[in-house]
Amino acid sequence: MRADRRHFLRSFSLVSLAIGGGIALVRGGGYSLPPGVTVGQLAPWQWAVFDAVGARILAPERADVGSFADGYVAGLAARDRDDLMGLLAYVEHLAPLAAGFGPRFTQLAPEQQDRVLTSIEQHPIGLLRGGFQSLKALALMAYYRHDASFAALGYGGPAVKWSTQ
Amino acid sequence: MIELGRRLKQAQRWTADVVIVGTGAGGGMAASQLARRGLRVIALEEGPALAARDMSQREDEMMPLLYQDGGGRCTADLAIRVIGGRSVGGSTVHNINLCKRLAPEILDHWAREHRVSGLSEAELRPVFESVERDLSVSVIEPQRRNANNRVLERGVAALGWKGGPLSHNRLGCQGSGFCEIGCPYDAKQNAAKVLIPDAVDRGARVVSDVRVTRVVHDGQRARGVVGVALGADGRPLAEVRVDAGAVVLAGSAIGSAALALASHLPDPHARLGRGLRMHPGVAVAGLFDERIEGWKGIPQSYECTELLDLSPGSDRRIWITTAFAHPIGAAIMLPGFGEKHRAWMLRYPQIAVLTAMLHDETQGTVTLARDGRPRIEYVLTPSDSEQLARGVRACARLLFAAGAREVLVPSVPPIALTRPDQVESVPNAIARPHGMLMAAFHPMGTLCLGDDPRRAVVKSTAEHHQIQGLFVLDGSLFPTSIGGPPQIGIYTLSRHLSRHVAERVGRG
Repeated sequence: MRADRRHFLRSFSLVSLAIGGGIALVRGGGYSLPPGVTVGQLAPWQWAVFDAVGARILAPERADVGSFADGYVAGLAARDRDDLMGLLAYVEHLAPLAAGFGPRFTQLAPEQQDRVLTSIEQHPIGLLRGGFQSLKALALMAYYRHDASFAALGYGGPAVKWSTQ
Repeated sequence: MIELGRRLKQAQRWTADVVIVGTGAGGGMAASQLARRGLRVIALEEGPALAARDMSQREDEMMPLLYQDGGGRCTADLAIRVIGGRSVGGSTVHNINLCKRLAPEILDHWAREHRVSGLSEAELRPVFESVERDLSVSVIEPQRRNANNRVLERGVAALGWKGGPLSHNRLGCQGSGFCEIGCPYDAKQNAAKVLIPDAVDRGARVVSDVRVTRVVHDGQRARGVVGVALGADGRPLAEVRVDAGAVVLAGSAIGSAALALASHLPDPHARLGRGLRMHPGVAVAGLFDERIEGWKGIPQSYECTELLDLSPGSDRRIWITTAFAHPIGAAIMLPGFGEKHRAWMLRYPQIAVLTAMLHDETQGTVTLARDGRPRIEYVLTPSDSEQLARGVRACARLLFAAGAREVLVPSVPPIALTRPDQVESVPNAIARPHGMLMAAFHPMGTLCLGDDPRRAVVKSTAEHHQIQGLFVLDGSLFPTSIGGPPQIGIYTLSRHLSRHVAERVGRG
């Protein structure tokens, strides 16, 4: 019984992600990158969703989460990349509807975006909760990897002065 | 000198007495031991070869180099991160250097219930001793205990619980606290520092950046392995084939199981990849008035064993120690997002973190996903969830007893406790899948040993029940969870059992 329920929930969440992707195709226009931003992996709408989600995760701080995600995605296995893109479509299109908002995520006010993100963070479907944690981790990585973020934490940063990059 | 697979431009075909897949505690020890017997050894490692000067102490740079999937490997339901290493030296490069022997209760249980022979505490004692001597294992002295570990010690003392110092394999440690992302001071006395150089000095070839994709066998005997050399960006460069009289799998309970499955090894009793055990852990944060600065100093130098009884059937299966992370890891662990999350991050220096790790009974599986990568199915049993929730409450009690003025349980939604009498209100349900952030360490058991071929994949000699000349020498061997850090157990079994590999190729 337990396994059946898990299977049902997983199937339901995968279907939700697919529907999110389908809606993205229907109403996927109107995105453009800000001046000076170039992407290698992401479509402009994907960059915009990463950027908008990152802004709420990190508020009141900011980081260029869209561009960081563009580089991060390049290192992912194809299966993980596909899952992440499905999740983005869900966040942008389906999650706002489920939370009672008509416009897509990137067009919502910050408070509304927070409500959408909270609904995903606490979603009864575990896969979506897990997906939220992935987006959150990505945004936090984009911010807390910079030395400039350390001082406010009282953190001294690396003691060695070299980098692998 | 380690050879770099990323420099290979064309297909290679090599010959050896023994080819070893993986260079962590099991593979590194096997390479050293077999090279000492004069065998021609080739050890292949999927990850890069990194020197101390490559360790930049930056999480975003080191995680992709040192961890499988950049540290993002998860169970299939995304509920639990599964931690594993992937550089020359394996997980011993990023581990915290904790050293505990396999407990006598565990070894007795294996002998009685899993028909494991020749691995009694008495038989292994001299091997443990020699491993500990070679790896410079010693107790971390009280004066080197950092503030986060002193919090745990204080909590244990205040509650009158069982606890004590931990032993590590480190020499020349600077106390920088960056152990989990590699040591730039070369203080870890691990497979990469001690065993691989020893093997190379004795003629072994150790080649990084080679992913082994298949064990070559004829259904009765192992003949070698086939793999591919990978560029720095992970792209395949050239086929690598090694013909050998014996093959040793030492790529962790996840990697070795996946390789066994991909190689279509005989599996008459459907045991390959089954029986996955891990130590899932949850973290609990305490806010203190004083500065803790838990990122500084030697991590995990003290433990609480009040809730740990390794006897079979025990209802106390929780091991508690400290767990502190640098900013990215800490930020991911703290619950919520936005301003509330930021407010916790701004109190980062005043936070102490404890972790409760489970000596599990859950049995998961490793299978192959459609893209050929390992797929990990592991869902905690109700009893194990209950144990973890109990561990969360114990951590909260310890933190309050040590003087915390607030305790944060990073569940979804988070639970903030301001008084010790609130601790018992933390429900068991928080430890359900996705109830709180969970990471699992020390995968074990997927190719377990024992003399009954219906229950075990390899014999007590570590040789495959059906394929002669195929051995397993990593954490996959353990028939059950061991309830603590596994490296000494793996080093020891590898050292003890690698003589059977030598015997198989006529150098016993």
